[in-house]
Amino acid sequence: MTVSAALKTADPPMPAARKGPDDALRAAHVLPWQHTITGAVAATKPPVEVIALNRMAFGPAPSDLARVRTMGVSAYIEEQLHPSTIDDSACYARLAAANLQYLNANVPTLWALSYSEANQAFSNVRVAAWLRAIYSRRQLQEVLVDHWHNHFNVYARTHPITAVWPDYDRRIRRNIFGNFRTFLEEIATSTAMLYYLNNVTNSRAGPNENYARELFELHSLSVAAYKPGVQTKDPNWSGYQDWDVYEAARCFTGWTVSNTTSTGNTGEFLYNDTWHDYYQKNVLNVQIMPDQAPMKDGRDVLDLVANHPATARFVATRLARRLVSDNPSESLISAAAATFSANVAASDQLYAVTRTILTHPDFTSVWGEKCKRPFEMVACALRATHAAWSWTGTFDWQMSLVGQRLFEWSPPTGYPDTRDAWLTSSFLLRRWNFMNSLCEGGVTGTTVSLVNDTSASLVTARQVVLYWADRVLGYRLSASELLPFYDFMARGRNLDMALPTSERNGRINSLVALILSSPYAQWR
Amino acid sequence: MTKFSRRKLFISGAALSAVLGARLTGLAVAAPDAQPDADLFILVFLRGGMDSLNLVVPYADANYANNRPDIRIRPAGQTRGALDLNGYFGLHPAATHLRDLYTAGALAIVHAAGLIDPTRSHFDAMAMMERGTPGQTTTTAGWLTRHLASVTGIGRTEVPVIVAQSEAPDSLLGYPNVAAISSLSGYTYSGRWDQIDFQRLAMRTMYGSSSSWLYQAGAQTLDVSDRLALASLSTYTPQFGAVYPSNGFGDSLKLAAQMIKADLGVRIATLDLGGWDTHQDQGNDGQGYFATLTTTLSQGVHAFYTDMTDYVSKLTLVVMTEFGRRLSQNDSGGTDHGHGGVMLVVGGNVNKGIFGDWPGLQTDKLDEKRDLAITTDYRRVLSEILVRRLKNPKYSTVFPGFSDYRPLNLVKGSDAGVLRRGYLPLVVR
Repeated sequence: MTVSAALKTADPPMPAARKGPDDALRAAHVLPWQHTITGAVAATKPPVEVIALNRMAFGPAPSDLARVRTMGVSAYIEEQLHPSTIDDSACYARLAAANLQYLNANVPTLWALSYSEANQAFSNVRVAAWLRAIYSRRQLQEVLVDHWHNHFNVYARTHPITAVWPDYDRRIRRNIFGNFRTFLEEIATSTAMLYYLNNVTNSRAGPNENYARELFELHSLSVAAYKPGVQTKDPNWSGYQDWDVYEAARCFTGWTVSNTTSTGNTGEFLYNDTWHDYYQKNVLNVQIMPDQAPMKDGRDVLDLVANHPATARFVATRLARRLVSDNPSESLISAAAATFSANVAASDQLYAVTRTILTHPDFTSVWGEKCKRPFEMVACALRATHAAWSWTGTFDWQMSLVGQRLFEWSPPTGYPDTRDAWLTSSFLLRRWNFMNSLCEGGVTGTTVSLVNDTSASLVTARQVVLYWADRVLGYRLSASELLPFYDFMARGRNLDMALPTSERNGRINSLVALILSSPYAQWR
Repeated sequence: MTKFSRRKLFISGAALSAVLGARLTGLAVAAPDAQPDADLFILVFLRGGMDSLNLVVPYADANYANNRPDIRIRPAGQTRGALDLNGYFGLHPAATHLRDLYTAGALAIVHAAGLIDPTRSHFDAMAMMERGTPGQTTTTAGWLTRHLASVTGIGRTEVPVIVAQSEAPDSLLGYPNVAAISSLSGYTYSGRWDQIDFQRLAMRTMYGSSSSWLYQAGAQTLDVSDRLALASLSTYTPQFGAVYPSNGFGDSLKLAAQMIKADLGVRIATLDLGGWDTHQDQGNDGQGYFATLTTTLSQGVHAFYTDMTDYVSKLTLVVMTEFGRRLSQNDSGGTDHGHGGVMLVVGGNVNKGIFGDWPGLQTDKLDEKRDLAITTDYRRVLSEILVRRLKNPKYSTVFPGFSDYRPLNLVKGSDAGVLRRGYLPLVVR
């Protein structure tokens, strides 16, 4: 292929107008630069094993791929849905070796930490998240822990949230396959969320609606069920309105934290009866009686939202967006939502919902519409290259450049999970540079040995390219897709003649970086 | 007509450096400014819902101080009092630089402006505003994207649109030619010195082999990084004594100024200043958190305007936010989500003043009896700037369904070519 043939010279075609609510809005969709992306991407579609590992794991690491090929995707899904049955002793050993002293500390212990110790507690969680993503065999579990951290997003780098971060992480980890209603209460009573969304100061004298609003909008019913306008409260509206937010905020008055000497100052959840608003409320058109038992008002709200059909749909959509595509099909969403609703009282409700998504035909058929986020991309690269990884300031800084330091997304929305957020020139460029840096040994604390990993029996450009493309991507690219890698490696020499050793060894690191930077490695 | 193709310029590989000089000279000729009469447009979005009542303070309205016993700004003339504008409104005492811009005739203020939609959700409000479609959060293009699409040739310069941070705002949703740059350092595709040219060639080949979304984004990224690498933008000294605040916002503004002056053909720059979701402890009596943030905004905008002195006759900067905040303070020393906000328009062709109808703060005048009402649709402000300063009369293409062109006379300029209300063809469903 010549350079000129590879450069795009033609403007993209004008797309046909999409269906819109009216002509004016339809006009808003027609843009001269827009590409028609409805057609199939001309790229080679990977086999189902590879698609599955890009979604329910942090990429197709060679060892995992070999296991999936042997046992089959269905058996692998069943195995991953039961993480406690998977031997993960190697990962445990790494966690133990990393000396994460605060990972299992309780809240009173964490609450008493000094400022620098609190930062250490936060850091322990983040190091553990990376170690597990890279080395754990319970890959689905780690994917879901990340997902639920984003669902119930808390920005962790403010005190005292930093100190109690191990507690918040444990609450997420123990509920990923559990009951959503239980999950909601664990979050609502967590010190981290109480501080993050200000419920810690929510009292009858001065209600703070921040938590109540995000409970509806981001944790449960979602903004799709929101009808703005308090004065025009519509009793027939099945979703929520501003009125419901104000009333729910009153229900949660007194849900606070033991953070004064008179209340023990343990940093744990505290229900402060004297702050609670005892008058009656009306939430989602349900009357909440006055003078209920302690915490009953708030628990009634959690019951209402957990049982709401809009919640089923939203939880299903978000999970399907994580595990399948940016715009999940109606068939997938309604199947997962139906499972959610049918299992609303079950202790393994979210297990059932996850299982519905993973066993839906879309799970291994839709492809080429979604990209990995930086956490997933970097973990995938570290797995594919068999990197020896340890946490360093350099690594942290490089993750900030690519846009995803774990637990540092400040709005309550969580890191975006659609491709538009990650495709800016800034993020893409740094993502590629990260791959170059990783493969050239430029990430302090992370070691790769790509030349040593390339068997001495692989001597031609074709052999080296195929080895690394297969290993990193998990499947064989088409001849035309391989061409740029061949050109890079052979540099005009015969593809099937042995390369001079200095050229072969001098190019391998950059070749692997190229493969990791290719479009094929970005899809999820 | 031959179309200018940027990608043809970049012959990658070993031959690259040998041809650079000639190629760049050719570039300057090949890409004339498609819109020489139009202003540069700078959009500053204050994320989180800025408390407009404490930035542009209606200190003469008794309902203001009564509803904000702790966090209110004192009347003009008192210690830490508002910086008087017209005897009724004053700026937050930390906004001295904005007051200076006002005094110099470079600042127009539109109070009680905002999104005509009852939402109190940040995310919905921003989604609607930035898409330019109140009531619709799923429109696939931003309002700036439609502006760029409706002006012939505006996207043909090398780097027509910059976002001075890593993430592009929704106002540019669907526009592929965005250079999102939070910092120039490291803004090159870099690898091992003896391999990088060949890697770049491989990357261009891979990302040039399809027009699908990911390939297009990759090809665009390679273009922008090459172009900036060639422009040698390593050091920058602000002009005319401009002093930017030493923080991310100051750095972003400085970067925008540098890029504009580098003659890359920048027409639009956007940047954000976040942190305005002041549910608690926003600061009492003109001090504290909100005052610090206001200083950053005020000093930053002033420094940019000063630094851009040579450009001000062709520059319009707008500051906006998704909504204002509740009139009454809450018991956490903050304010919850409200409705009406404020817009600031800064530029060399601004008509100084406070614009829009002031609805007042009596309970029966408030939106939902608690928040400042909106009397000026934010689209009305932006439409006037589109028509008069950005030379794009197609405001109702940019804001679909909006046909109410009634300039407030915020800026100087002609309304030539505008289809006024009543002249639009009927929409046939």
